[in-house]
Amino acid sequence: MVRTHPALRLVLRLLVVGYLVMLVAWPVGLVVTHTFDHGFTALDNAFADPNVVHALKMTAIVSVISVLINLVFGVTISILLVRYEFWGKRALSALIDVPLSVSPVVVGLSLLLVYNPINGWFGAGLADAGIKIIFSTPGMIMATTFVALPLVIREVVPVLEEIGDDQEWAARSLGASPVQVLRRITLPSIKWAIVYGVVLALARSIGEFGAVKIVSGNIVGSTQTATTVVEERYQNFDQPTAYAISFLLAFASVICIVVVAVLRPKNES
Amino acid sequence: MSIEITGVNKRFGDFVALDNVNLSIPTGQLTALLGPSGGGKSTLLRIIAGLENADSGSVVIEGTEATNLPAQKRNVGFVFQHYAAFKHMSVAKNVAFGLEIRKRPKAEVKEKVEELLGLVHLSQFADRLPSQLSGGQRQRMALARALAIEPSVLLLDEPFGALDAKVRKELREWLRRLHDEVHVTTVFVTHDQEEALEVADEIVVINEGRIEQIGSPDTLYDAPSNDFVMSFLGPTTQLNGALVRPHDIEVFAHPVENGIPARIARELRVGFDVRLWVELLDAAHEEIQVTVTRATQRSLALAEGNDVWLVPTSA
Repeated sequence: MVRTHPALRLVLRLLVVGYLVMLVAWPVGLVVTHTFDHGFTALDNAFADPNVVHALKMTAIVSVISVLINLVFGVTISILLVRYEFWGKRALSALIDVPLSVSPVVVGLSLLLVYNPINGWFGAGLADAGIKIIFSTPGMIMATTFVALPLVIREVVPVLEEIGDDQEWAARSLGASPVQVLRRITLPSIKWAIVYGVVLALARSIGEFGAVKIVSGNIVGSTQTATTVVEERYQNFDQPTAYAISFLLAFASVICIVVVAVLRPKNES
Repeated sequence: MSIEITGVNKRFGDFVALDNVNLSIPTGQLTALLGPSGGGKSTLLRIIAGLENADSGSVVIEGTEATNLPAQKRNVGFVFQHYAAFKHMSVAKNVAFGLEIRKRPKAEVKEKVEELLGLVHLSQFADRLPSQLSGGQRQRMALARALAIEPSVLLLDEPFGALDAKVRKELREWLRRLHDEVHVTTVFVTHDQEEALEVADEIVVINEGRIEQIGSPDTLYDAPSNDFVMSFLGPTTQLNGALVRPHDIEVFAHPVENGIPARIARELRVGFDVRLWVELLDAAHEEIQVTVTRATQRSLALAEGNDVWLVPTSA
């Protein structure tokens, strides 16, 4: 513990608290208070609107499926990156960070270019086969998956590196097959990293706006999601509904964080 | 012969880890692979276990051709320097792992685990997690885990390397006693010559990917086949152009026949030993090291500045 002057400590504390209040707590707090300006009427009205309910369902479907995809591929890619040597490994590792640095709008546009049914690279062929990607659920899942891709990997890779491969080799020498090693040793040891990665990916997926807005076409009652419905309602002067859905989105994120805090064992940092 | 290694080569890039190694390890003995770090001894052990593949050559374990067998089919017990404890499993579960993989009946597993935990003195810790054990206890757990599968050979890679000096010494003696009880063919890697001399029935000295000498601790210490083995297995000093052990030089306080005249430059007492740095009174005025016992030092009244006469006792 570094010794600091009590007054300095007070100033630092005020600075941090003030920063967080101005940037996070106050704005989010206002959303909550606006939502409940008239009791539960805003929420009741929102849930009574079939288009809003549909948008929430779309968000749930798209988020859950893309998190599942990111879970499977994220864990696989992490193990590949840490445990195996192959040509192009560094390039792959760098590529994984692209979704974090590229604007989601760009992600949406690029998917549109590849998969649009009129002149996209695959889009035309897929459209002929009766598969619709753009302005439909598959495209929205792809966009969301793309945007949340690094989150599971960036949680799991450091843990895999830290635990090393001794335990896995020990299990092998004790007679475990590669599948048994994965199931009994590797996955249990990275369990918490996976949980954390999944929660982050889920929070990110629920909140995704830009990429989804472009590939979904934002069709009311069809491909509209919770985030895009917020924008639409706000611009159409239906602020109570916009606040109500915003509150639900914020609430979902808080639940995610609480779940992690409760699940994570005390002795793990 | 329990393990037959023939013509094994292994490279890591440009680095030659093993250079045409041939070795037979006898059944039921405790064999030490001894050598400096980076000399290839751990690589050889990992190749025997199947954790690493040789570039060429063959490995036969208990008469079974094992060169291309994956690690899980070789039936070897492997103990790692850093324990490799399964952190999310209790001590008992760790020990039971190999048996559960082999789908042994529950009652048999339970009985075997209890027996092994008794053997390694960890019975009261069965339900703890590895993180609640000390380093020495974790390594004993790892040993019980490796023994549980009744391996045809037990391989230990610097098993005591991560432990402090006192625990290391205790575990060393304990391993020797355990081996006398269990009699499984055991190979352990160490860079600590004292450890090898104390524990092993046979020592294989490995340096720069090649075997320098194979023999009992006494043979290696008394009749090293070259200067490397001699200097690696104990202290040495140069006398008349030859390597000798500092304690193989007799010191006289009066002139003797063939005695080499010298003068004590410095002395350092380490417990029962007294190390003397003596300057030879010849043209070169070389300084060499001689070790005598405390008793000798006292009876001859050896002190800094005294003239002495040296006679090499061996060879």
